[in-house]
Amino acid sequence: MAMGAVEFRDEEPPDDAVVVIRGGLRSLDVEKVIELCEDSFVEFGFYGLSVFAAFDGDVEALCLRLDRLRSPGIVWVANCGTLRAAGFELAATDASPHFDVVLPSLDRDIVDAMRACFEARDNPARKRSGGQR
Amino acid sequence: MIRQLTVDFNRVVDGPLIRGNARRAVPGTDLEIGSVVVVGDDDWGVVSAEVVEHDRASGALVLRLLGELMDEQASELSRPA
Repeated sequence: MAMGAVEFRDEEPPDDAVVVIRGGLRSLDVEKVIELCEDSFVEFGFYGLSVFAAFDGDVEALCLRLDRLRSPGIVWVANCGTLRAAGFELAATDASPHFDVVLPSLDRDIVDAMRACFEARDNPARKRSGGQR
Repeated sequence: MIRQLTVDFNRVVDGPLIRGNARRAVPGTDLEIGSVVVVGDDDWGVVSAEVVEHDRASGALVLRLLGELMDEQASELSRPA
C-alpha cells in the first residue's frame, strides 16, 4: 500500500443500512472537522472526514474488533442512508473498513448538516472492558 | 515541546499507521523520518509515534503508533451524570 497518497478501494459504496462510526467526543466539533477536512483537501483533493464502517450494523462488535476504537469514551454513529439523504457520499479509502465522508464544501451549513447525521453513544467497547484499556 | 501536529486517530492507513499533518506546526519543526514524537488529544489520550513519511510541501505525515492509546479523560466524560 502506498502510504503517502490516500488509496481508493475498488468496491461498491456501502448499503444505506451500513453504520459508520467516528471515535472521540470532540471529533465532530466544527473547528476540528474544518481543520481535518482542510488537510484532506490539501493532501487528497477532497474534503473528507474519516469514519469506520460496521457493515453488519453491529457497533459494539466493530469497536471491540478494532483496537483503535477501544480508546475513546464516546463514539459518533451515523447510518449511511442518512448521510446520503443529506447529500454526503462515502469514499472507500485506505484499509477497510475505513471510509471518508465527503463534504462538497466547508460552508458552515454543510458542516452542520453532516454533524447532524451523527448521534453520540458511549463506546460499548469501553463498557465491556470496564472503561479501561 | 508542543509542536501542534494535527492527528486524527480515526484516519488509519493500516494497522498502527495513521495520517497526520504538520502544516500548523511551530515554525522550525523538523520532522525527520524515523524521529519519535508524542501525539494525542483530549479524546484519545497520548501515545508515542514514529515519523514514517513526511511530505514537506503539503505537511502530510504518516505516523506509526508505538504503543497503546490511553484515554482517562474520555472515561470520565462518558460516565453517567
